[in-house]
Amino acid sequence: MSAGKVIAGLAAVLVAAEGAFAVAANGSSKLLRPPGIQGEADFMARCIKCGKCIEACPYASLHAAGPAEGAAAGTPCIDAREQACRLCKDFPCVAACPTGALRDVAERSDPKAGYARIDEEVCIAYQGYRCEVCYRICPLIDQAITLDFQAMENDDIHTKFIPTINKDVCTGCGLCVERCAVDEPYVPIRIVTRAEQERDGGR
Amino acid sequence: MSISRRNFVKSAAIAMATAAAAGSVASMTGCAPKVNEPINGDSVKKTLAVCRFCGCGCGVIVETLRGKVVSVYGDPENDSNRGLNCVKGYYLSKILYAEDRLTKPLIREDNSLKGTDEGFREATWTEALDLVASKLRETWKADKSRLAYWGSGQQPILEGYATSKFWKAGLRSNNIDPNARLCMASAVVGFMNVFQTDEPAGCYADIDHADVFITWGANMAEAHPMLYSRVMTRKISNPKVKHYDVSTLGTRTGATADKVILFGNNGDLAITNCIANYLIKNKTYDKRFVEAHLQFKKGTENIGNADNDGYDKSEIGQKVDATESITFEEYAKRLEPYTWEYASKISGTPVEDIKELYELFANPDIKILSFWTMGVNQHNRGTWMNHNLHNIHLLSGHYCKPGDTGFSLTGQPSACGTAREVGTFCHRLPADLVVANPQHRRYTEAVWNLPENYLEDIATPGFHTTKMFRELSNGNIDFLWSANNNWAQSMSNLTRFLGRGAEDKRGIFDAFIVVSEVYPTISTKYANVVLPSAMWIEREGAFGNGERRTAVFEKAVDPPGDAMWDMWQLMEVAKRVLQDEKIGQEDAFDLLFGQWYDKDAADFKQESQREVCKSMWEEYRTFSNPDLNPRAAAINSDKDEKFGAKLKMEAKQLAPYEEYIYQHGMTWPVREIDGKWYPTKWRFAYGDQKEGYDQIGIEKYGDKGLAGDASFYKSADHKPSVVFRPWEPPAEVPDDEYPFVFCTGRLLEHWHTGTMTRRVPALDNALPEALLDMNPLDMEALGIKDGDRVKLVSRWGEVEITASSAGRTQPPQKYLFAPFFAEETLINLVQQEMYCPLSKEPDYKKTCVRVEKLQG
Amino acid sequence: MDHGVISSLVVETAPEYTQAVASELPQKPGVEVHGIEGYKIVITIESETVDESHDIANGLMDITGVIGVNLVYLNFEDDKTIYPDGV
Repeated sequence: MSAGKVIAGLAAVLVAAEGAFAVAANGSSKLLRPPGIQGEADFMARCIKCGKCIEACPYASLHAAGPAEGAAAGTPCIDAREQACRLCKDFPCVAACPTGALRDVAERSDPKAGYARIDEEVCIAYQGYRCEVCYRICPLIDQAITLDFQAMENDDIHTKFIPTINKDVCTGCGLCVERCAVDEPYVPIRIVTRAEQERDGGR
Repeated sequence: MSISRRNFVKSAAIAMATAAAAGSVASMTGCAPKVNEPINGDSVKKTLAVCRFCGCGCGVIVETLRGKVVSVYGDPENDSNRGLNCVKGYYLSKILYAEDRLTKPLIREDNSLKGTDEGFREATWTEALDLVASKLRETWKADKSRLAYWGSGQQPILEGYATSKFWKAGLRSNNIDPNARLCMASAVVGFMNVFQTDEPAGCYADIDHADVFITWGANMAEAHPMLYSRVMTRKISNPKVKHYDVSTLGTRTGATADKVILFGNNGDLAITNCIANYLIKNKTYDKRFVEAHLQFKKGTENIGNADNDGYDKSEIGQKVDATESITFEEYAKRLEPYTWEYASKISGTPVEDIKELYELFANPDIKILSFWTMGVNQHNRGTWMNHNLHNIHLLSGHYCKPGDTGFSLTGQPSACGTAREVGTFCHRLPADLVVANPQHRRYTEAVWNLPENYLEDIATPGFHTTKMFRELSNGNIDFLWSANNNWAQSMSNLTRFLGRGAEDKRGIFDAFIVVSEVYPTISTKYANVVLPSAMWIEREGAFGNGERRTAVFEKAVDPPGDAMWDMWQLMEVAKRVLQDEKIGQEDAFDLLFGQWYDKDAADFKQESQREVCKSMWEEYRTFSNPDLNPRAAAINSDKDEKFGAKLKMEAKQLAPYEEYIYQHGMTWPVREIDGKWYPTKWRFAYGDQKEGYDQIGIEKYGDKGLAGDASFYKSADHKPSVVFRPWEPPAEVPDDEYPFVFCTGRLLEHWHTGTMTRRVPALDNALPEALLDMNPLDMEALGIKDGDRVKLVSRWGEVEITASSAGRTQPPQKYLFAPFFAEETLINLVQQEMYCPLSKEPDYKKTCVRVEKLQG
Repeated sequence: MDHGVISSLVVETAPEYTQAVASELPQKPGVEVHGIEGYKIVITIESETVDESHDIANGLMDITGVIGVNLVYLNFEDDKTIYPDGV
């Protein structure tokens, strides 16, 4: 087959899809994407919802976004709490992507699907409990998550082991979210996705 | 396109079109905070407890509402943890409430299904107890060497005490041993050999004073979470404080240390001897301390390994404990071969690193706090390595001063309190007494109100743990009862002990096995009778933690269904087995347990479990308060000079029961001054008792004004023994067939075999799988990728496991690590059964294995 | 059909014709109806090639009551005119 033909075929699909989803294409979704996303708009423009990345994932971490996601329905996404990305060394999902919606990752530290953010009010490490499950499970331990040792107020024998996210290094794989040992009143760690970053100006 | 893919594509297509048709762009939902239910006027009841898990012994407060635990939080008034816990402690309340709690006695009807959960029927307590007691009595009457009890460092103190009393005085059997044999036995033998008393001299508060921490074979960051928090506090508040981690692999503890010193090949023995050698050679040892306090010995060497079931009775096996006195000069001479270069060659550790450690000990102006635990204890020369750590601390005078001492960390919540203090070992009696010593037997007879010489029958130790399971597999045990443990997962060499290996080692299928448990475990699969037990705060109990702290946990809720207090189970079995038996002229059961249990009423005589425990504690406390019993007092002081020695039982004095509740736990010895009870934090260190020093003990038995203000009054001649212990190789050395050294251990999220923590969804989710940690270079060489399934194969057995280069530890090349919490990944199938010949504690850290990649 | 191109579409109808359209659609080659959302009907078309799929979809406009046909998804990995050797 020729590359030209593929691109032509894709273009036809995309044009058709755009027609159907004029409303939904403006990035209202904030889904967590697989490794290799280069920005939500870029991703949405290229993803043809073929499901190949979903099939390629050996950990069944990827699933097609559900009906509630409008234009993004059918695109691959990750429910980190359910099953996070394992950052496979060979990125089978990226390799399977026929359109380059997922691309340009070589090292496990390359993906930038988002970054983790901790809710200090709910995280038990901030209360002085020895937990740090997120830190120990982090595939980029001591890089994406480090421990910040802080003295406890009014307690001269204990230290808080504060997991601290390095936004620039965090890949947004979500393993910390999956494994977080707290879920009441809610899971205190979440991934700020690329879509959210873009919408909120990178914050 | 394959059919499965086609189905997938089609369903995805439909889903997308449906979504598009619905046209909704809904926001993500599901993260709304859940509002706690109002309490409706019912009051929340608070009770005092201790964490169920590790040896830290953190205090907790339990809140209950309508008979159910609603919250557990750190006890701010418990001095061990002051209100904080680790994530396991955070979820303590949930360990009670998993769906598969055992609530009915189970009797195995189909022995051919042994090893599975099948083949049981529910039974009444009467049926189950009658069956257990008849089997025990039958075995006891026929041949009492064929019965055994396997207890635990998680058994509460008084349950251990009563069990020991039943086994040793009721059945007159020494075939009782705890899982603490797998954990602290090497530390115990080390303490006994060096100090003639089994206890760490220091306490957790030592952390607040140290200038240097050295962790030896201790992954404190994971295995002693709250203590490690205290270490970090000391470090961050004093930037000059340094932490050295001496280990065979990288751990989370090493990751936060200032320096990691790796060694292999039992090199820890060589490194410590090297440090001792240069302390003496360079005259940097503490001369005053050595002259005032120490004596020197050497022991039996070239002791081989317990590679056959007859090892203990072999010529060398019988001599392993022997020592003889030598001079300081002879000791120095024996150390001479341990040069920097030799120690480095043995251990693989750079000379500079060994020198750096030496420089610490040679410096009298810093306070060094060494912590050690399973890497030292679970070692084929575990006792020797305990010796060597005491040796370098004693020679350098870095001992029993606040912040400047050696501290052996315990693994379990009551390893110290129950297994060691109560003496649920095959060679021990309560309170450091041993069966082999006639004075100790007489003393025990006095406290237990037995006829003199009644315990002559138990002068010879029984089966230690590995021997017990070896003989079980050999078909030489007919009755086994276990409680508070999970031997079918935690024992070494499970291939043999679960009867999956040699044809002539399948005794497990023939023996009658009773398991008291709270959840189904691998051990219950092998049971003939399962007795459902009350767990943790469903009954009253007490634990003794790693710093000699005794702490009570109150009964907060009732056990579910028909589950019953282990103490009641014990009484009901004992009354049946001892039916019509006499001790002297008295009914045996009533003499032993009649103060607490009415056998006709099948119930305790006291109104509440509090009163039962209080009354039983008063008897137990007599061991360390001989003045409460004139007959015991006479033996303690050797009034008639029959024995030629005083026992000094007050050296481990315990307080009245309720003091432990008022004071939220206390570290023994506990001393009464003007009607108030004061704990001792720093043993053998002279100072104000009210400040935690061992003032009363030293004034009664020791000497004031010696070097370092120390007085080792429990030791023979008041002098601890520095025993020369050489380097000898591991039980297995890597070769072409088994090139890897495989180490096992615990990780923060899970407690031991995971039977409780894996039933807490949050903890199971946090660490759902036991991974094999490998060095990335080894993985590459074997073509193994992260997540690949591999087979570990040792001389002992094999197990399948998932490999990882991103696991919790960072093994150097040719080293491996996996935790033992996961019953679906029974790593002990490959574990060797070699134990330290002195302590009989197996080496869980150095089995030689190979790694085979599994296809597909 | 166990091979070929799969597409999914939403057929918009005048509300009073929705049921009638839904019952007529399965008569068309390769068309299956999967659901109705108000005046929209969810269908799939299975065909040999993308072009054929397109033709079928275009033909749906001729059904009385259909006011729009919107392609949502198109999978053409089995289209031999695009990938003669398969994917």
